Amino acid sequence: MPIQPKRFFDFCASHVPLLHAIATRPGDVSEAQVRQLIRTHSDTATEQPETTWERLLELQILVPLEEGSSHYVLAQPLLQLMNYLHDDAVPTSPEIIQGYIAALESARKRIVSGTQAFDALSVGLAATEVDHTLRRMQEDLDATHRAVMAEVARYKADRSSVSVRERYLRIVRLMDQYVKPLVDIVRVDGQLVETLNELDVALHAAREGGIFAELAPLLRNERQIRALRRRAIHTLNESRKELQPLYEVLRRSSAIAHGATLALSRLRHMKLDDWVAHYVPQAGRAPIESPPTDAVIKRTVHHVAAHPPQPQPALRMDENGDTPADYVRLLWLNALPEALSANLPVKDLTDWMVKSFPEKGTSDALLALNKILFDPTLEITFKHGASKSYRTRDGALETTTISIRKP
Amino acid sequence: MNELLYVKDIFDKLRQGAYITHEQGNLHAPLTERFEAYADYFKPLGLDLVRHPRDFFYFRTETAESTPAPASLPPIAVFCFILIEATANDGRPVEEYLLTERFSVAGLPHLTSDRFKTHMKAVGIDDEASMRKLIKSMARMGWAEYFPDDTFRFLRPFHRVFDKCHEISQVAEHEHRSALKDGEDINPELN
Repeated sequence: MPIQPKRFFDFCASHVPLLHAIATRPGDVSEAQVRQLIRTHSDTATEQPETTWERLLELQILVPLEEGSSHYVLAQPLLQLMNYLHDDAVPTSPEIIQGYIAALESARKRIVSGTQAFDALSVGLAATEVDHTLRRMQEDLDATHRAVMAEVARYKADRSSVSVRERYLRIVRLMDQYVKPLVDIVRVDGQLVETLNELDVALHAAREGGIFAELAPLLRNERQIRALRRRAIHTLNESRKELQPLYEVLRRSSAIAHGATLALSRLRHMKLDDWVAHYVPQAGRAPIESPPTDAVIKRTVHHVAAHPPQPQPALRMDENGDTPADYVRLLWLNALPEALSANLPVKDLTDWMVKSFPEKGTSDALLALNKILFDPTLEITFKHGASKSYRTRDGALETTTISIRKP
Repeated sequence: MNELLYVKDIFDKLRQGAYITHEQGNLHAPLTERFEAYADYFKPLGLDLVRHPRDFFYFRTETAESTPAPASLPPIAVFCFILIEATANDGRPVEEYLLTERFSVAGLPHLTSDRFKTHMKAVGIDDEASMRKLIKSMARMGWAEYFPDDTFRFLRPFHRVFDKCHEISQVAEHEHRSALKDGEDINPELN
């Protein structure tokens, strides 16, 4: 029996709380549960519960799960209307949108083949299918946006009873399972735009080909495609903008709570000092009674500045064939006692030195005198009297006479 | 204007392992204005003056880890961790709530559940009086501000606790992922 719209809507208008209570219950409801809801939400003074129950079935507001079942669900069209009226949407999964894209692709192929075969009927049917698919797709994307907004509003309004972790998981679920994958699909270089572009080309070809007498559906499809391109990405970006701050805050809150719980759980399994070292933020302490005065600091800095560190000796890493000068000097110094022995006795050692080795400088002459004076095998005597001056290659030595006898 | 103001007061405050926040305006303002100069002043003493992104100051010393922590630090840490956990369990945004609310000592969750009580007892806090004493020591160290009506609020250095918790969580997550990854490499057929 056909349902009279006026009766249907009159009943719905007078039983909004009841219908909403049934709509928000997950899954199906048994007859007993429905009767209980009727007693809770209906005005029994104006209508008997039994009457309400009968109207629910008669107006096909409740439909049995299967023939003869005592479990019921709210009729799908009414459920959608309720969700729409209460702004209570269910997010659309990426898989559903993928399904729409596949349907559009299939319709496009039929438009292309229909255009090539001049089959106006086939093109017309495919265009109608495109129309439905595009509408449903936009509705579902809008529903995702509404679901996100509702979740954000719920989060902001209700700040009790649900743990941060649970809130975080709800937001993460919306973000990771719905919004992010959908954005990937509908973004400019994504699958949806590519399909829409190809569909646009096919519709244009069908229109230009002139095989389809009724152009309105094709033009409508083209308009819808343009609108969907714009709105899909906008809608999802708006959703993402709503969720992102909550996502960040909750992610950090959840991590902080997780860290605190971990730190507490390890308190009993560690030595307290180790626990503090690992899990407690510390500020440095200075076990000094008072700060040094400026004068002390200046003096310390001056000491450091006045004694610049000696640079480390640099090893010569390159090599040449010349004998090192220091080595030549060492050989000369070692050979001196022998050279002197051949000339003993020497009445004036310094004079012998500067005359025998006129090419040596003052420092070498001093080294040589030092070497000879401390040689235990030589018998040395310092003569008293006035000191004399002896010329070297680059200066002069002034000393009293030193003589050496034969041993 | 080359003279650094309140050097002694700043040093006396920071050397105890305390923090300088906006609440110590006379010390905070010169540090904010001439942070580099103060940092250079303390550096030769081996004291690294740190300016936290949330605009408070503390010392970091090279020997901080080897010197024993002040006795009040473990109970303060346990106190903070419990409050964070309880806040999260209540579904409140942790940072916003803890840094904006004013708490009464009597309304704290620390002595309401057996698990929390056990943690508090492990660091020597088992009644409201000792907890009040702890909060006052937190106030001295710049972690909190204590009011005469037996309430208190947390100050910005509490961000260091949040940062630490975040770090602990991230390390644990990383270890967990590494363990999973290592596990994936094992070929069950070889067992």
